[in-house]
Amino acid sequence: MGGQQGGVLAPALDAGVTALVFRAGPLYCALALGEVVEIMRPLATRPLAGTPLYVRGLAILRGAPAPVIDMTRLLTGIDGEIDRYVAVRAGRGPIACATGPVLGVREIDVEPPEGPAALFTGVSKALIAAVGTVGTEPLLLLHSLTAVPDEVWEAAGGAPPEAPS
Amino acid sequence: MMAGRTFGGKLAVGVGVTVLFTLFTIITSVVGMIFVVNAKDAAIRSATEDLTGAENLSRTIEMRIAEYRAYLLEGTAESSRLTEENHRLFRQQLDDLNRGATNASIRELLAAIAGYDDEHAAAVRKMMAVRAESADIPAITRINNVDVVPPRRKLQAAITDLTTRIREQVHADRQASSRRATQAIAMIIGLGTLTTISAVLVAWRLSRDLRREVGAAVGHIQSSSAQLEAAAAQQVSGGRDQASAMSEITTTISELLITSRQIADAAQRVSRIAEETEAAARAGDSNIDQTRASISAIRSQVDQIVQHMLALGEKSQQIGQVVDLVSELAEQTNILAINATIEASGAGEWGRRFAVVAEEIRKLADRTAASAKEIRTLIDDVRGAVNTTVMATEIGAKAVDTGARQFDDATNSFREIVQLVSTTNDATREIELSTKQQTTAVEQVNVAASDTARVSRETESSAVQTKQTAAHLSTLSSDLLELVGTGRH
Repeated sequence: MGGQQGGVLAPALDAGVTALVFRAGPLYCALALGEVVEIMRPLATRPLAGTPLYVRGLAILRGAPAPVIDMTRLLTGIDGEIDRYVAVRAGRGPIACATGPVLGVREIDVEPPEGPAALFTGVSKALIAAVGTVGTEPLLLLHSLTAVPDEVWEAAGGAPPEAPS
Repeated sequence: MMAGRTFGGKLAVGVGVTVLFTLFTIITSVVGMIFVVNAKDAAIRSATEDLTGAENLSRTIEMRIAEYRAYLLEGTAESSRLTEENHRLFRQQLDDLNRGATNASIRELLAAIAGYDDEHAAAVRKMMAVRAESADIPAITRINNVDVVPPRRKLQAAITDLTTRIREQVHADRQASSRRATQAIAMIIGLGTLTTISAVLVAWRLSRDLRREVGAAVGHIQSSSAQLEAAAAQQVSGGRDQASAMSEITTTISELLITSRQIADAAQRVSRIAEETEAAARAGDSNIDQTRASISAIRSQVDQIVQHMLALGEKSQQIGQVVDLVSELAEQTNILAINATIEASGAGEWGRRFAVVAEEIRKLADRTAASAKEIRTLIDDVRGAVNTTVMATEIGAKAVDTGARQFDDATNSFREIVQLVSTTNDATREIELSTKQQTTAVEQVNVAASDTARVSRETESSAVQTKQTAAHLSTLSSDLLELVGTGRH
């Protein structure tokens, strides 16, 4: 975890990655620890009109409005229980990821999305950086989140982030 | 006169008329016979007394003549006395004839005889006085020829005339009596003829009425006999059926008697059981009081349980609040530990150590949270159990109250049952007594039914006799119709 500023996970993909492991509905997900700002209890969230379904709305995060992404809906398309907000660093500011229970900081073993994981396409491919396991369950290591539409950032008062390379 | 009278009345009237005619005939005959007898008596009397008297007068005068002739010859006192006595007898006989004479000519003739006798007697006394003085035959003969013979001849002639007259009178009386007898015979014949005609008329009338009325009555009797025979036949059939039915009734009553005895035995057993039930019910009354006391104790215990359970629930709630606080603290510690780990990840070696400590803290927080969760679960279980227990206990308390009320109701019902059992016991005794009386009555009915069956058989036999009698009566009616002359075949 140390020294991984900027959330670059690629060099360490073949080795263990320290990540914050949480649940998003039925899935085990992980975010590189360098992208995570903090975790917190779910905050008061104001819904926004005209946004995708996985955008729950805006919440005040450390004094500034931040969009709230429903990770369960984003990854599975279904509604799940919201237990924690995970603040992560995005291009135009932090965003809050509404997740299930946070399991903690773990050292995880993941692989690039090849093999069966290579079948990921579209949004899944843009989100999932690597795939590992937690026990007998699959674990998805996520990219830095760029899925927040521009209109959301505009509603939050900031410029849309640059497209990740 | 005969219309509207019964045949017996007509017969009585007819016989009465006949008897009246007969009596009239008899009376008339008796009266006629009396007249005839009187006439004949008169004739006989005149023939006997008057004619005999006249003959006696003649004989007495002859005896007197003979006596004073004897005196004239012998001059004895005896002859004189006999002469005087014959003279007195002559006068007595003459007086008798005079008293019995009814004919005036005979009375005149008797008076003449009396005169002639006086004259003759005076001449005889004179001659006898001459004889007494002397035996001067020529003087005596002269006196006799002059003084005695003429009156004697007149006297004898008068007596002869009297005899003739009396003979004529006797003859006349005989003829008169014969006429009266003839008249009486004629009247008797006439009355006998009238009586016979009347009897014939009465007999004809009675015979006609007998044929008419008795024939009709006998016809009615014959038809009635036929109806009576038919009725007797029906009565025979009915009596036979009745006897059969009474036999069945007797059999049924015998079965009923057996059943009544069984019922009486059952009623006796029921009475005994009712008495035992009553005794058991009275024994159960004390158990009811004990049970009520036990229910009150249960109610008190349940109330205490409810209070304890409510206190336990309150304590559990307080524990839950503490556990919630612990859980909150554990969650907060978890978040802080993770955030500390996140922060420590960018702090080099010191951060790594801190991260280890933070991870341990997080694990403790997780264990604390898990324990708090378990405690929370347990507390919730305890509270749920307490609530369930309280609810169950309250329900139990209510059930106890309800049970107590129901037990009171049951107690009242039980006491009513006791009273009813007592009443039932009395009623059962009455039923037992009534059943015994009923059995006795059924026995009497059985006897009466047997008597009735016997009477039915006797009635049947009587009906048979009645039928035979009716048939015999019908035959007799036919014979009677034959006798009265209106027989029909």
